[in-house]
Amino acid sequence: MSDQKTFNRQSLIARLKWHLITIVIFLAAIWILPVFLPEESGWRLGLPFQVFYTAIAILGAVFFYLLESPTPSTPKTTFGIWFRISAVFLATVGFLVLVGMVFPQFQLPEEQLVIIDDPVARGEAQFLNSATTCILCHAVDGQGGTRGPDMAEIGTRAATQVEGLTAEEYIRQSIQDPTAFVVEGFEPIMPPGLAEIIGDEPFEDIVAYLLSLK
Amino acid sequence: MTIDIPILGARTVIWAAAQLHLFFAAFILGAPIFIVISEYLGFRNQDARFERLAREMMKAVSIAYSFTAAFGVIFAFILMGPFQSSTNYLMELFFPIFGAYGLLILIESAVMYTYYYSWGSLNSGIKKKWHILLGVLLNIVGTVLMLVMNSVASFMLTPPKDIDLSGASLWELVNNPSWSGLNLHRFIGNLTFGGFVVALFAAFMFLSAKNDEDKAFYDWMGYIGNFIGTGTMMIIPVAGYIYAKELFHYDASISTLLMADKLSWFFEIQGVLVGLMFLGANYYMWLSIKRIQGGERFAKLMKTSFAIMFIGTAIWITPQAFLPDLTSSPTGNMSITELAIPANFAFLGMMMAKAIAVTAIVILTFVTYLVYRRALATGKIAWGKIDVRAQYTLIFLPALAIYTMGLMGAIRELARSGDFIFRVAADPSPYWYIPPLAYTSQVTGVLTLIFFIFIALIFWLGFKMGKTETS
Repeated sequence: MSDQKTFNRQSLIARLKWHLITIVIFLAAIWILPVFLPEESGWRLGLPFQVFYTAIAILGAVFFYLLESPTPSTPKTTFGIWFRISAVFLATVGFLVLVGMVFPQFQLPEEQLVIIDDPVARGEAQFLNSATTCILCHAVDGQGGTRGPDMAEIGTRAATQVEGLTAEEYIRQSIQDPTAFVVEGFEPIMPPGLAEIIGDEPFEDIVAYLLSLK
Repeated sequence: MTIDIPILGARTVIWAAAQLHLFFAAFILGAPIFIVISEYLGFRNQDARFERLAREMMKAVSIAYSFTAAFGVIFAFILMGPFQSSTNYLMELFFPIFGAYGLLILIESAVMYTYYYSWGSLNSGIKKKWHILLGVLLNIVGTVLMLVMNSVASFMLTPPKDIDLSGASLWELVNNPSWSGLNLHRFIGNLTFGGFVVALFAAFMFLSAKNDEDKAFYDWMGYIGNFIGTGTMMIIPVAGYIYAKELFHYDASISTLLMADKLSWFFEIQGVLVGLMFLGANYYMWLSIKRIQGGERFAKLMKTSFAIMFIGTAIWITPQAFLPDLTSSPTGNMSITELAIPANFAFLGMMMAKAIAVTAIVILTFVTYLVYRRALATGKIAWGKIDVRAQYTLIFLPALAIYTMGLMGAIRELARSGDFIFRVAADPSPYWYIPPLAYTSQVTGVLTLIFFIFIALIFWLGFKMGKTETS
């Protein structure tokens, strides 16, 4: 039995000989060759690419080893079978998660990392963010769309737009019910229900921001 | 956002519920397509193996159906809670579609349970034809159901431009620019997914089979599952290109986000996944060839093919630069020269090189199948005598397929880039931003494992525990 094992091991080494030589040549090309190449040659791999191709070479070595490796035994117990199945599945998923973790990661948006205490500043971030769509139609400080009224000094002007409404009431009404009062010279294109879509807190912040534009 | 979910956050929870719902949905929609084909083949050729495959998989589908519904309900509750305002907006536009969806689920449930429970009584002569017809009907209803809900999902990414959405007709909303692309991609994807889940089931059953007859059957079943999974996987890249082209024509900035900006490294993983799937599928075929009498001589030919596939995968995943997005700049001691691909290798980062690489991989997979057929012409298959590594490959492949589906689903959702409906309505939640790849990968990994636990439970409940009780 022991002789058989030794024979199998020797046979495996003999069969893997060319694979090992290929991998060694490949790794030498990745790591040793760049030392002799000037940076401007256009052939020299940077460190991240060296690591990247080394990882691929190692995976290749594992794959070709699997082609030549002896057949594993089948577990005898039900627990052993389920354990082996789960281990293969878990190892595969674990490898994929690891790949996702070692690849380059971008930064989260700054406004998500910093908690802004000031509702006016939060409202400004919301208003200027193209995701909320405000800036697509309304300009502030010369930037933004022209399909809707310019928001310059809206905090002051809002108090005089509709009789009986304060500046805050007018701004709230304009967002919640945009067709209630349409500024002269503009089409009623603002979609209804925007306040609900953007959510309560962002809505309050945007109102605070617009009121601050004086 | 008035309601949030502690610890995990509402986004991660709705992500989990939606993805698990879709994992099960892909299985219960994809598997019945080849279940009914298998039943038909069993009936036409009087081959009991096809009949047994169809019946056993239908049993798994009927159990999985309940889990699909359960995760669907959890998904709906979260939509109505933390994401209520956004959901209301969609409801206003698509109310008839949601109504039709509910009705179609009712019809599908009725047809599915009738199909499954009438198997014994409608199993011979003309009755069998009626039963097969019932299976066809199940697939028609299931496909229509998928098309209906795809309209909402595709609308969120590509709402029709230049029309007033609140005044648009329902058909204008449904037939949005990426609806057909998504339909095609999901239809083929479901078949691939279903095929690999069948392979997973066969591997479970093969490894725990107690007699040669069962081993022979589940070896054959694993082969069929892998054949369906791999065969349909070969045409997925084409469907993917069609879908991506529709997105590009709709708004080129989506393509930039996907292929060159924040989501580009997500596609790097997709390259790794698909490369591994093709290598795994070919490895399985290689072991299948070896168990054909006299097949060893053909198996030797395949090592060159594996080497080319490996190089093809390496080209496919070679990035232009090790930068996570368009706005990032080099950090630490790294210069842009080190992070970017050297000028003389730049072609490896181009789409042309990648298209050639993926085409080579697909063609070689087809060649592997031809080699298998050639080996089969000169020798006989010893079913049940396959190398046990083939069964582990049939566990490895579904793990990749499930994770791929999870990752691609996340990419499609994140392509809206901070909007609830692309360029129409912002995501009002604090989770509007694109999460980093590491987090996405972790969530996808955990969801893949959760699905595996549930699917293992289905296999155990339906085929091990039930069998013990019967015996």
